[in-house]
Amino acid sequence: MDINNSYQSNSDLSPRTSSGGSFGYDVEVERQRIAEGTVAVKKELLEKWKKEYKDAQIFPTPISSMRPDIVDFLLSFNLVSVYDSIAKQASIDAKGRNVLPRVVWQIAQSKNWDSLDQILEANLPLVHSAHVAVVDLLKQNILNKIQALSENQTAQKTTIVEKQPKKEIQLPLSQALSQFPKIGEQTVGGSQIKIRAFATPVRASIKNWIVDFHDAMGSGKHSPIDRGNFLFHSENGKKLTPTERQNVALVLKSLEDGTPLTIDVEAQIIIFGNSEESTENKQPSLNEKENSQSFAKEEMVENFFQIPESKPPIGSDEFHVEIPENKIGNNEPINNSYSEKVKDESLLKKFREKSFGFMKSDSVGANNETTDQETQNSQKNFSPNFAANDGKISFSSAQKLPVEQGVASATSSPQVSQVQQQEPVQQARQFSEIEQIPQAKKPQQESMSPYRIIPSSYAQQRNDVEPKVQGNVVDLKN
Amino acid sequence: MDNNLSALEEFDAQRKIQFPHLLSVAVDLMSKKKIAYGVLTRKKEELLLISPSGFGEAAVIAGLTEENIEYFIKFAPREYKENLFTTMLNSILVVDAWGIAESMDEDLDNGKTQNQDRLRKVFQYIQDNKVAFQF
Repeated sequence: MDINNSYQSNSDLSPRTSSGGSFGYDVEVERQRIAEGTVAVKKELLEKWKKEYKDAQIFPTPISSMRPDIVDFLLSFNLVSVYDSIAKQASIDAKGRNVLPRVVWQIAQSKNWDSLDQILEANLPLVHSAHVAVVDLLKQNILNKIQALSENQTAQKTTIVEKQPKKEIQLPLSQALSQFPKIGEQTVGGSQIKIRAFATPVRASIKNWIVDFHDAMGSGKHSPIDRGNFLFHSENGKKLTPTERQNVALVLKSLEDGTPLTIDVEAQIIIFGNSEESTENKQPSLNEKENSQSFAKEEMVENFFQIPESKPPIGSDEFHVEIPENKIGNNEPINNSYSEKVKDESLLKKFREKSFGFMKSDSVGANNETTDQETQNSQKNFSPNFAANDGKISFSSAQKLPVEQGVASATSSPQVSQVQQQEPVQQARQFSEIEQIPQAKKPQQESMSPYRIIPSSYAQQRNDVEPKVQGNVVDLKN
Repeated sequence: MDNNLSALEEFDAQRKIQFPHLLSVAVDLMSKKKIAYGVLTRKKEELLLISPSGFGEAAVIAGLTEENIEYFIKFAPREYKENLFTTMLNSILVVDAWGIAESMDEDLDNGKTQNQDRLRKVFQYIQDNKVAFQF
């Protein structure tokens, strides 16, 4: 820290003889010093960053297996305007324009140069003339160049192979690991796996796979069946593609049985028999179904330019509770009586019509006799189907309100059948009452129910049969 | 360190380089624009000095240029890309970034929409090369 020039120093308050002013420092000099210092800090941070992210994963696995110059070409910003011009020339909309780069990436990864027509037709249905134009323009501007790049590289690769034949040896895994420790760091079977020792996923190196295998199956010898169980049913094994699983199986077999593996001595890597196929053709056979599914998933992600739609507020008429079919486990039904009611909207309407139609003739107050009549009337109003369906829909708990208990006691044993039939009626009433809660409450409908406490003013509004005033008060108006 | 800066000055410089989105509480539009302008003027090599969490901020996104985003997609490690992609999926943040670009165009006061056009191209580029972000 340079105290003499620092404006933070409290020890040097006297004006200096330098070109600075009376404040004791020169602003321009300070600025220059800080600017130079900032450049030095940037340089240091850049070096630290490079060290930290030296082995970091830059691209997803399918892209990292592609040739760097092809990836470089596909990621150049110029292609944005190329796609725009193709869309303009072929007169396709923005949605169709966004399909073009996906198609190009898919073909570049699979190297299936002849599949452009099929993929384009599956994902972007166009008029024939537009389809032909798009195919021609894509080939002309992009795909032919990628194809040329890949062909050049394969030619170079073969020449290199001819010039320098690879040194390959056959060794079992244990010997190979002792002679070539770098083999343990080779990635096989996916990009990351979970092992017990680490909370976060780790690289799918051969060493980590061995650790996972021993954690899952124990450290002793295992039969092929045990290894198969691990490869197909373990947490990491489940996620493997068939090719990756095959490679891991080879490694584990060599570990346990000592079967020799082909090892590239110079690169210190294991050469799997299907490695080139797996890297070049990550999706060996592109079914249309897979294409459409993958594109469908990608379409769900395409909301870069869309503002989400506003959702209706809870309680409004437009609001509907969305309940998945199997929220808890696979076979457990949703044990929620209210949700069942909401689910079955047709039954809901039925209950409403029946109960409201029934309740219009209702009188105010919890009168046991009237409720008996009501229940008897309701039996006539309810369809036979509903009577036959009683017990299939459950509503509230087994607790009974006082009104229900009064109804139950009033109807004695000879009328057991009526009582039994009343229960669905009462349940329907409860259902209709409960169903009303999330919606706007209508005072007239509320007052119909004997289970609700209603203000007396509501009763007065409905021109009841009973006199407005009772007792010793004389109503002079009537 | 041989940078002729005091400890506090060095810390300040590091903060500006690595955490421009945390320099001020970026609630108002002015602070967000300041951050966006800061990112806009960075060299492409310096873009990745911003911490990965910075790419979860709309203000940082609003400052991306064509050159920067191409460098980003080719050289940024996985966690940077995941943060950026997650931000792009968040429509609220995207709308926020649009708003910042619009305000930057209003500052130009010449009727042009160069910042919005720039951002539109950046978003289109990210969408075209989604595969590079999907780990």
